[in-house]
Amino acid sequence: MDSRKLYNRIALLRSERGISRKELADKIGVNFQTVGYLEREEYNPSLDLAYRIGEVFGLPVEYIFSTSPMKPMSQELFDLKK
Amino acid sequence: MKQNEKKSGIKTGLIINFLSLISTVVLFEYYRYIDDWNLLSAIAVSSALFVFLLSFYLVYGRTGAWRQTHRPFSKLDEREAGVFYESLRIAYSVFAILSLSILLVYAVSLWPVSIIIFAAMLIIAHIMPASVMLWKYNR
Repeated sequence: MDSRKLYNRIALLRSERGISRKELADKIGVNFQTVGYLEREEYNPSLDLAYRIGEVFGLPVEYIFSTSPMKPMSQELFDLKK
Repeated sequence: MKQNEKKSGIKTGLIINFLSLISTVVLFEYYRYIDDWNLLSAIAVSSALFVFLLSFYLVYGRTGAWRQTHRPFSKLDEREAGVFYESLRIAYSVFAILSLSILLVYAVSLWPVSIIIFAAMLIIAHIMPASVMLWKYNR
């Protein structure tokens, strides 16, 4: 079975919080290259890893990962205001 | 751009590494067959071996591929474990086909299998997973 592409906001959340790839990798227990693969959406994480990423950012998994392309944050905020 | 150059450099290194290993074996077998060991033949075999060892260090040592394929499975993260498993799967298939082909050639030609070809096969079996990993997944 081919897995679906997962979109994510890891790069955005990481830069927003000023965390380096290495720091994030250490916190979630993976190699820093794996963070790069995740950010480029070239690798789908396991459920366990997705939850660990969610715990680091203090956000629910569905806010970080999606099966459809994610809207820009400005659009999300605008939609919330409406 | 730089990434692509690095990637093609590693692929070139892999080709050089395998060609130099094959050259070492072929030269050794050739000089053994004609039974003509002299200074020139020794230099030819040693040069091929030197190129193999140098490219081995540059391709597998400097890139960290050797370390990655020889780390305990428990020390790999989930993506690395997946990459390693896939590399091993492909390497096993390639090695099986390669070794059976070589054995067939030796069986048909009735040449005796030398210690050097045996050693080369062992080296290939050992470096094949790292080679597949570098060829397929390196970025």
